[in-house]
Amino acid sequence: MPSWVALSIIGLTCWGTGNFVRKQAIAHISPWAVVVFQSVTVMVLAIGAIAIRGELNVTTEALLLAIAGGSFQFLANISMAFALTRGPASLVVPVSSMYPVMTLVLAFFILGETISATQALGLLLSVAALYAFSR
Amino acid sequence: MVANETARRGAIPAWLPFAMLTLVGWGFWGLVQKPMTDRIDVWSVALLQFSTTLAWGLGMALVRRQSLDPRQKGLKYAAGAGLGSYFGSLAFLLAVDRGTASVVVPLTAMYPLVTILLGVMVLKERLTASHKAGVVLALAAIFFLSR
Repeated sequence: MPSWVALSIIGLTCWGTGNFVRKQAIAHISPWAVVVFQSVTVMVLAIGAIAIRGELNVTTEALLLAIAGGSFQFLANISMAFALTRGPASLVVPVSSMYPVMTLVLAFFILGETISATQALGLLLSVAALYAFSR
Repeated sequence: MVANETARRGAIPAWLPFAMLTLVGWGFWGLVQKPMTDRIDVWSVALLQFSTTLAWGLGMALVRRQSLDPRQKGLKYAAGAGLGSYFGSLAFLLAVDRGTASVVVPLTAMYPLVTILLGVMVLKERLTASHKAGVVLALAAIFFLSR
């Protein structure tokens, strides 16, 4: 098996399990606390990685973008935590994973990027999925 | 159980608006990733972004007077979610580095399958026929959107 396939499987298993574990966390503590403790864990690992590499690159533009990205990341994390308090992980996670729809539409209108036929099919399927979930 | 809750609350399940808000948050997040990684390395991006997320989390907890006692029972699960998030991203970046993004991205986008399997098998979550159709459609959508 090529190494990238093994790594991809490890990646999707970590993400999928991480979301499942988050549902367990919500059963015990508030969504607000979950997001803080989850972020602290990631921060410890991220700081460790920077310490090992021995370099941190920061530019004003990148910092402003990171603040925007981190803010949207917080919005996504806290919304996900609240969604998990109200619904099953097996439904909440597939719906929230369709976020490329938003990125595609925003990239189309803001960045002027084009949408391929395959991506358009994905958009249609996501609308059908949302309809099925709301029934 | 899920179907009954949906019927009780009306046509829109209570979790759906929050899941949609998550989708909006990740959508905007996705938009700024490319310009950011064009300017600095991914390790620095991760640190700076998570610093912001943590700052928001701590700020909101402070405003809400939320208890952040590390002895809380759910702490290990929240930390586990953080580990999954970080190592998932790390494996993804290494996979993209060794393979092609056009294959790695759709493959890793299938991660909801793992959550669905664990939810159904471990938490005994039950899905209606419509929900099952939705899961299949969502996975197909994720696959095509990632191409």
